Amino acid sequence: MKKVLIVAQPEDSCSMELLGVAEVFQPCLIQVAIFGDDLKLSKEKWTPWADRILGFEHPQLQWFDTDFAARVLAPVLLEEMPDLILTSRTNPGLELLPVLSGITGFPAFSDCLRVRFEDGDWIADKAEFEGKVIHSFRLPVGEVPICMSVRPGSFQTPAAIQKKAADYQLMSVPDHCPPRREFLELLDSSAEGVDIRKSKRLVAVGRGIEDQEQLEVAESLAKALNAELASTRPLVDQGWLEKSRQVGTSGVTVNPDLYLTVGVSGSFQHMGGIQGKPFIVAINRDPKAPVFNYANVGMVGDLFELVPLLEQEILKLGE
Amino acid sequence: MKVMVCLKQVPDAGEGEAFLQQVGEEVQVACDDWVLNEWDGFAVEAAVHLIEEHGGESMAVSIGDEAVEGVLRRALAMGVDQAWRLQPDSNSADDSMRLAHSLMGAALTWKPDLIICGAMASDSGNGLVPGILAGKLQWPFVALATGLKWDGKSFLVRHEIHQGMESLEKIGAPLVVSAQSGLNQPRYVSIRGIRRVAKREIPMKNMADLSLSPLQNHVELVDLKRRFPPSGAHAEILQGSPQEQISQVIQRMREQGVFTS
Repeated sequence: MKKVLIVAQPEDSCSMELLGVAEVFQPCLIQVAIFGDDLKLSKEKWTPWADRILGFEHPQLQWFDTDFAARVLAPVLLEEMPDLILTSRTNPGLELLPVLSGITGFPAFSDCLRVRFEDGDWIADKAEFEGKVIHSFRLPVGEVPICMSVRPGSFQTPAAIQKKAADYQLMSVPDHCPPRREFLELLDSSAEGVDIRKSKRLVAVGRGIEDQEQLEVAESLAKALNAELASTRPLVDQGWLEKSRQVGTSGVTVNPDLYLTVGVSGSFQHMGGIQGKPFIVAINRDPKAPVFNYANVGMVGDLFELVPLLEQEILKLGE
Repeated sequence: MKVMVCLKQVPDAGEGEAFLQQVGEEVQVACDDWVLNEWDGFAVEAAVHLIEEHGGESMAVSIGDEAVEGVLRRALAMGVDQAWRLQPDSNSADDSMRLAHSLMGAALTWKPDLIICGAMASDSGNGLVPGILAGKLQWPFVALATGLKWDGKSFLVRHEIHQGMESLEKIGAPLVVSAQSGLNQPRYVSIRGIRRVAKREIPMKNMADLSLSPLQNHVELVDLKRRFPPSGAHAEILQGSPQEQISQVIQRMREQGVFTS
């Protein structure tokens, strides 16, 4: 039977989705590694889903020190040799997964979107060129353990709970593993400035806006719509908009009714910050822009022509 | 202080997607225009800045044939002190474990206090090499740095964790850091700056130069085909003149109740 080991990150709300990947490998033995300074809740959460839970409890894991976690977990992986080692492709996952691969020598696959069994092979898909291309790889399952990170939102937690009542094993943290990262401070980079999470309508700008003066066209539309301006990362990096307006996996998460994108390509790092089911309107000159895979309605064309026209029509409505 | 910065050249995606071509059932990457991976520009700036501030030496490395000299010269023009081109150890040009293995050889030979990489490459989007390199070297690794300082004894690294939150950490050398975009403002490189370094010699280092033995027992993932995702899977693409499209989108927004609140 295949052995799947889920590395559950403490702050990861999507970690249960990793069970959806394990489901593709059924029947399989599911092991879950949990980390923290108090594992009670985490243990309860995973007990119905796993065959075995490996608990790593240590004061250094009060905040998720991925360096520490990788060094205590890697020897266990080398002993257990699971077929698949799964974790979410969150920011901490971007640290943890490759470090595990580097220590163990197991190959790594990053940002998995789909897994399927086809003609006797395990095939996994990932996105490249910011979602413009899907690239498939054959996974050498059974030949060597594979470290895989999974894009949040790509798999669903299986609906039927399999009551396995997992065995719990408290793992010892070796003494020769002194922490190497000293946590000093938690900073909320989006705390200053306008809180766009409160707005029900957002006009989001992306790289289609090529200099700061061009922002005016989107600001003007936002004003007509009584919307707030949201942004993708590059415009914030340029210093054209405040960090508090950045939507995405590294920015704020929003839950509006209307999300109107202007020159936004639609990378998952940006679209991952949109929750709920807003009505999404996309304006982009590239018909293959990934944003059209998320939008309800799309317009392919020049934003400097379409946006002012849209603004005029909205003003006519007297909104 | 010695800072090593790892570079990758990627297809210039600035102008649409002309470099992605449908050939039969596959999409192939056909590119003559290679540029420095965007994240790596932040890594170079961070390396040059740290050396300017605290003294020492910086070096840029990249793995590949002569073509990668272009990105190495760019780093030299930005102020990096020297550059090495590393000979790839096989034809699997993009295998993260092999790339990290070569970089490990460079690190063990040159002995930097800090290695900076871009957080990911804009082509593969993997973000694997910096962490694998750290794991192999058994050095600590911090991803997605948005701030990087040296206090004389340790590095102070600010980096993204989740949902707009960042953490500030203190870590001793040696260390691997990956640069998030926006870590700094990479300095402008003029044509004259590039010309100034055009004749600089860039040594090529092979496995023997780096005292590296070939990677043993490494199983690679098998690269199958690329394809375009189904275009506009969910969006209704509006047709007609711009004015007609606008009328339709207003209508759709009305139907969704956007204007009733």
